[in-house]
Amino acid sequence: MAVHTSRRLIGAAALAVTMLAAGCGYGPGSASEAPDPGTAVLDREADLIAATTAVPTGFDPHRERTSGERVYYYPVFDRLTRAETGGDIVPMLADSWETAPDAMSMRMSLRKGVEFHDGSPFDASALVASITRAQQLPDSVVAPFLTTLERIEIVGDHEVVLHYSAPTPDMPTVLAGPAGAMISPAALADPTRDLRVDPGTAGTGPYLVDKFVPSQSVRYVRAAEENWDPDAGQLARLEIRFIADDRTRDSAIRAGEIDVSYVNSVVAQSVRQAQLAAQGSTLRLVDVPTSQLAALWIQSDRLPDHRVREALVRGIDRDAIADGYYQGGCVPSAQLPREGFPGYVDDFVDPYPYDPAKARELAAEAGWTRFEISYTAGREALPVIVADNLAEIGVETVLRPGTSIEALTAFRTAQSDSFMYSMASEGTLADTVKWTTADSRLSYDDPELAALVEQASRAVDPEDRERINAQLVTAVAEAAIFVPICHYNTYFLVASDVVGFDEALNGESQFMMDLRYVGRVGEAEPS
Amino acid sequence: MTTLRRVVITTPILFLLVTFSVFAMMAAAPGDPAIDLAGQNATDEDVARVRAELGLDRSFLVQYWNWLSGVFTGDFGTSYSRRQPVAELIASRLEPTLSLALVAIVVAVVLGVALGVLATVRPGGVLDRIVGVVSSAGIALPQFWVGMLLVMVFALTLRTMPATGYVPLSEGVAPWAAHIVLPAVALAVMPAAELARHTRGSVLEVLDKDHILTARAKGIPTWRIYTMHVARNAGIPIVTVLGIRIAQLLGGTVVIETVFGIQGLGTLTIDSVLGRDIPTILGIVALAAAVVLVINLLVDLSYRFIDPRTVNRVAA
Repeated sequence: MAVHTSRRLIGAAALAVTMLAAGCGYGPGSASEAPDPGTAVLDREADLIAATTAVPTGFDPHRERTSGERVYYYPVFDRLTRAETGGDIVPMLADSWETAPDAMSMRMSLRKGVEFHDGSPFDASALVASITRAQQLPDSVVAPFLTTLERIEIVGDHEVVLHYSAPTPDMPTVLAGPAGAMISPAALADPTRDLRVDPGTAGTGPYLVDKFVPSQSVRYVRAAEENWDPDAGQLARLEIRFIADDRTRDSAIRAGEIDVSYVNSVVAQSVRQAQLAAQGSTLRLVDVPTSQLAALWIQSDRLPDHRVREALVRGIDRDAIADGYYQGGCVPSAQLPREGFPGYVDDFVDPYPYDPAKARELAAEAGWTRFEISYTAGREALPVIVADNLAEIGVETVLRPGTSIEALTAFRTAQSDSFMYSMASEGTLADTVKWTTADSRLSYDDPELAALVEQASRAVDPEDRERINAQLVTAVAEAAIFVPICHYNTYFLVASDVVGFDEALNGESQFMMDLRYVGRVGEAEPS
Repeated sequence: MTTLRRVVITTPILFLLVTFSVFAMMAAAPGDPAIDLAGQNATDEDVARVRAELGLDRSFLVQYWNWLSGVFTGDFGTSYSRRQPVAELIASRLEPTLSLALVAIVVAVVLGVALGVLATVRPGGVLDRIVGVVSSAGIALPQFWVGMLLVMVFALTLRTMPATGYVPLSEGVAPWAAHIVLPAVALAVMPAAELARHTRGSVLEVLDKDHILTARAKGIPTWRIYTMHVARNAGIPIVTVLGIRIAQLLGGTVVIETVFGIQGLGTLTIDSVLGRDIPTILGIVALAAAVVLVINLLVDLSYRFIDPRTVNRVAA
């Protein structure tokens, strides 16, 4: 009897612990509301700690290893223009600009009275120095976006004309990214300065890097001088930490150790956990659409038969993936651009809608029975669902998990048929398609598509641009060089007293954020 | 052969064996670090340039020799991804891992030995059964789960301990201790459980010996029997197990540091393996091998103090 009682007690205790583990911290309640930036009194002495999965590997905008570095150098380096959510381009260090009717040049007026933190003035010469470096640095990653920029004419201390070798109507969009980052000419002239590890006082941004621990964290302090942008730099100290593990970030924000936490929207479970965490707590879940498309990249060299690629696109049920797995966190799409983002085609007709019968017929006709998917280990959900879909059309799928390097290498060196990954916007639609078809190593070489990319990037007339963009989007879909699945939303858990965070996300990709305008509410409220 | 002489002879052989094996495994593994390092928009030419810069375009043996010859001059190379000397990088990550491991060892030894000895007071009794159940659970429960449970209870529910991060000892004993307790306990649970079982077994074995029965018959107090007679005789198997567990405990830091967001050698190991940062991996492996050697040496030396007869037996 005593033994039975002990067992029951142990059982009850184990159950209690499990229930505690599963349920603590969560409960019914309403999500916290965002403070109104218009009425909130900001605490200018506040600190803020944000955690993300973007790795801090360097600060040099022209030599970034991944777009994740932007999260870390955006508070330091301002660009000439800035992209808002949805892709609208607004002034930053450039006051205004006007593209010539033939798009062969652009007159740009620069903001006056701006200085780099090392005391150098921001003027036309500084712009020339930065853009020349972006074009000429041997390992510049932004040079491909500036190939048509022939020369920069200085027409005044704060006015330049950019002359192109071919029509370039999208230059303001390009200058909203790393190519438009302005770096002090004094820093650029210093051969001992390595901006990858120490940006020092080379920027005009609201913050200075105080401490950089590579691949761990970056701590910033607000620059002593008043920033040219009065809305920027609302915090005395800012820290951005790289925390790779989703659960660790979740624990940290729920324990109040960090104030902003990236939620991994690739893993649906993380989003659901975050939604629960925001209920009845002081946390707020910020949800913003992004242009990042979950997609299965296809190696066209290994699958040159169009029937096979079409069968692949028709055989995957993207609606079921988006509804069943992501449950609203990812919006199904048959086209590369997302609704509300540049390039989206309203009257787009999906050339290969989900049709397993047709897919089976095409696969059989082409004699296609076996397929491989490389993917990053730990992100099994999509590859497994796709493999199940393909089994229904008679294709056996071999799943090849690996580290991100292994999966990417297998794909880029054509050792695998496909790569389960995503596609982010690379600026303009034409640039994104160019990157998708060429630089991403999809190995799709089609002169007609290349010609359309060229036309899209040169079209000046708005109606022409819209028409060519629509053709481009359709041509990409018809080529079946990747399987579009759904556009991710991005999610962040944010402490309830954090203000201006929604504006920090421009939807460029899931983890992208620019914390320059973020602040914290102070104790006192205005009367 | 003395312990010290054996260590001096085996150390270079072990170093070469371990580092070469790891180097060979990394070289044979699929994936090209240059593709990752060159960046997402890199062309094939960019990747080739990065490969040449890192010396990855040379033969496997040349790469290993270059690394090895650097080690002879005290240069463990530069991290591919962090652009930082490996020795400096490892040194910067040493303190959290060292703190974690040392505190975990103390917790494991105190808890494990105490529970093991308590279980022997009345073999088969309630206490013995409880220790048996607890130690079985401690061995069976995955460390990450224990860590997450501790975070749930103490950091998120009771709010008495921090959930993540590490504070250096230089910033104060209290914040350091607050940040190290939960991860150290999570790390210590498994070795403590194993030590408890081994301690119980060893002590019970010694308690059955004739000289203990004689001591009991003489009326020597139990505490004296334990400290004077049992501890020395049961100590050797316990210390041997402890030595093995300490080496495994270092491996456990990889998981625990991830769960608690501690930037130590464990997380550095994961990042380096995933990023195929070969110089950093080799540096960590060399350090781990050295630590294991030192632990084995200390275990060997401790035999002399616990039971000098073992030295005489070896000498004979």
